[in-house]
Amino acid sequence: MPEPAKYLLIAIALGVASELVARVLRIWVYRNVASPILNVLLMFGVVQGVGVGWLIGAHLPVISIAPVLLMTGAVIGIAYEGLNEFRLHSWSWPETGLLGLTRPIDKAALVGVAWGFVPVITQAIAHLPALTGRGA
Amino acid sequence: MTPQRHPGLGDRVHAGVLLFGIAGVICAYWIAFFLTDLTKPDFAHAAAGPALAPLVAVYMGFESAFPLADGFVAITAAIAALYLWAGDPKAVLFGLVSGGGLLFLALIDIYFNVLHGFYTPAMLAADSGMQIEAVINVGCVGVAIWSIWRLWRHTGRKVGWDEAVPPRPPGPY
Repeated sequence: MPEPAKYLLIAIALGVASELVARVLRIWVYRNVASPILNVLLMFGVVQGVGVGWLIGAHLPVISIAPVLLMTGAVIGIAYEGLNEFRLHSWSWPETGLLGLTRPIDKAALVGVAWGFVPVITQAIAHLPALTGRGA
Repeated sequence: MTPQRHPGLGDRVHAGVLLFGIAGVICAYWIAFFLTDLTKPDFAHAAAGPALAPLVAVYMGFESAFPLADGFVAITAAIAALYLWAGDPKAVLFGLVSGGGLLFLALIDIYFNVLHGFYTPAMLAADSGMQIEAVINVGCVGVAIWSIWRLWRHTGRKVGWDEAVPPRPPGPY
């Protein structure tokens, strides 16, 4: 499988898992059906998986490049959460607390930082021996 | 959804500087550092000869220690931008943290370059990579001081303080 496709699929899988957890725990709620699909395909898969994870990190060891993937993914994520808060309004935050946070802007900041882990985890999984074909 | 507030022009510019001028530039710098030779001094390029190997090892070893700390500054700057745009006093906290971190890291970098002779006039005149680094160092110090100065005078700091601390009861003391 081509490397970009591998990163795309891993990030999409992370996106599906995140959306399932968010749906069960009611962490965030979408305003229409298309938004979570676009979120998983474009933001998780294309932007964070391929754009950040593969383009920046594919040819470097995870330990060296992880801080750069984390900061880039988080800065893009925070900007994306801000875009939703102030312009798009595609998802909202129910009253339930999230790690002690109850205000929408605080939750947006926290989830924005969490976006940074998507390319890091994607790259770490992509570099697993079972997926690189370099295992024993 | 966050209630819509309209930050003033100054706060919008400041949020843009925090998000693009600090967070975005830090990310771009490190992407360029790991993927290209653009931001590295000429002596540290991949084609540098073995005679320069000890110098390259010192420089690269030092620079390679920065990404995690720079990531902290980039993320806190982006969070400050988000809060500033929302008209939330937490912008002051995250903005001061990011400004202090940026100034701290820039001063470490500048002193390292001075101590190792990388900021001599001859080196700066001959090495485009060091010219870029000097501009970044000076820019970081300037933007950090400006951001700290502006946030310290920001009404968000005073509002947050007034809400947190009840007024002192009347005397006698």
